[in-house]
Amino acid sequence: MFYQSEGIVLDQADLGENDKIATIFTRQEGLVRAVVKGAQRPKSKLRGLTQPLTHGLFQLYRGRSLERVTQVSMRNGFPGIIQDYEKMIYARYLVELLTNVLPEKERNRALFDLFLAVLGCLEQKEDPWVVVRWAELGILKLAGFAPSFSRCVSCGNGVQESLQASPVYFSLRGGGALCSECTSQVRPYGELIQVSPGTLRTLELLSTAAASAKPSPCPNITARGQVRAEINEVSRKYIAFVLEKRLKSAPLVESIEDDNSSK
Amino acid sequence: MQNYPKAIADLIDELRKLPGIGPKTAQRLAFHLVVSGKSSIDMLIDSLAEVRDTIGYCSVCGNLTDIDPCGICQDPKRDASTICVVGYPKDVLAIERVGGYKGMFHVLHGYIEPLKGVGPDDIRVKELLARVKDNPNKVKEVILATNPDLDGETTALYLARLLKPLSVKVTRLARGLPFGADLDYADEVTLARALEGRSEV
Ligand SMILES: [Zn+2]
Ligand SMILES: [Zn+2]
Repeated sequence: MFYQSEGIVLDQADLGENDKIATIFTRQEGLVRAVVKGAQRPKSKLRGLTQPLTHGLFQLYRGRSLERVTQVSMRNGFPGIIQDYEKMIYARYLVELLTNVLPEKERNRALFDLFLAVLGCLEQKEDPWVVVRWAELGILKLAGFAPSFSRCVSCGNGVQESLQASPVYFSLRGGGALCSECTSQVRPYGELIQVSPGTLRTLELLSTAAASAKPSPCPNITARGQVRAEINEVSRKYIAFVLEKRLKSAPLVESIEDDNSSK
Repeated sequence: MQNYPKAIADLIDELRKLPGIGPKTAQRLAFHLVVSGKSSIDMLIDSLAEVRDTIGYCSVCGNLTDIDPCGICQDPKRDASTICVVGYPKDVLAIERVGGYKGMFHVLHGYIEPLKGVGPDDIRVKELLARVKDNPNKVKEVILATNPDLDGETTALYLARLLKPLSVKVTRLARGLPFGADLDYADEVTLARALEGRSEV
C-alpha cells in the first residue's frame, strides 16, 4: 500500500550492501523507519533526498515487514543549518532528544509542527542557543514532561513572590521550581539546583513561548552570563533525569556552550 | 535450530562481524571455505597473518602502510605545503586513483558523528592541528575532502573553525559531488573536477 506524508528525515544508516534505512518523522504517521532501496549506490537519486534534515513530501510503500521510500519531493534542506557547525550540532542533538521521547508510529502533529518551526528558527536566528532551549521545553512539554517554573511543584503557590525573599530551587524529581518555604522543610526532592530570579523568569518566558499555538514564531528572548549558565545546568540535568540517560550528542553541545561562555 | 560443529559455528560468527555480511552470506562463505581444501585455507591464513604483521598506520598521515612514514609522506617529489584531509584510508586511494593530486594526506579515521557520540577527540584532529602548527611556514593549504554528507560536513565545519585562526588557507571540495555520496564511490572525472574546483571556506 502506498501512502504520502509530509516529513523530516531525522537519521540515515546503511542497510546491507546497497540500501539505507531512513528514520523519518512524518506528520501523518509519526516516526517511521523506511528502507531507501539502492541508496548506497553513487548515482542513487533517493540518497541525497533522504539525507538527515531534509523536509519534503514522502511517498512510502508499506510492505509486509518494512516500509520503503519510493519518492521524495524536497521542500527544504536547511542549508543555513548545514553550513554552520554549531547549528548543525544543535539540530542533530534535538533530533536525538526527539527520537528519545517519541514512540515509533504514533502520530503527533503538534510535535511535528513544532519541530519544523524549530528547524526554521535554528536556520534564521543568529544565536542558536535560545532556539535550542525553547525547542527542548517544547519537545518535553508535548511529550508530557513539561517542567513548571511559575508555581511551586510541592505546594502550588506562585514562586515569583518568594523570589525576593530567598533563593529558589529547581527540583529534578519534582520537575519544577520549589518555593523557599517548601525548600526549607524536609527534602524529599532529590537533587536541587539553585536558580536566580532572572533564570526562573527566562525559563518561564521560554516555556510559555514553546506552548504557544502554531505557527510557532521564533523566540525573541535572550540571556547572558550567569542566567545562561544556570539555564544550561537546569536543562542538562533535567533532560538527563527525565530520559534516565545522557544523550550521546550532549557532550558536543556542552563543549560548544562551555567554549562560548569562556569567550 | 542449527547444529553445526562448533568450529564452523565460530567461523560463521567471525565472518558475520565483517561489514555487509549477513547471516546467510556468512554461512555460505563458511561452507565454501570448509570445502575449499587445505591449501586454499592456508593461503587465506597466510595473507591474513601477513596483513596483521606488516600493515600499520603511518605515524604522520594515518594512512595504511607497510613502512613508516608511508610512501607518500616520504616522497620528496610531493608537495608538503598542501594537506588533503580525508575520513578513511580508502579515500586516499580514491584520490590517488584520480592522479592529479601531488600534495600530502591526513586520514582522520572517522567523522564527528553526534548521534553516535563520536566527537573531535575520537578522531585524528589533534594530530592534524599539530602538523599544521609545527610547520607554520610549510603548510599553506588544507583541503577538506570529507564526505559530502551530514557527518562529513559537520567535521569539515569543525576543522575549518580550528584551522582558520592558524592563517592557513582552508578549502573544501567543489560541489560537483552529489550530497550524500561517499568519496570513494565518486567516479574519477567528478572527483578530479571537485578537487580542481575546490574553494576557500
Ligand atoms: Zn512550595
Ligand atoms: Zn603517511
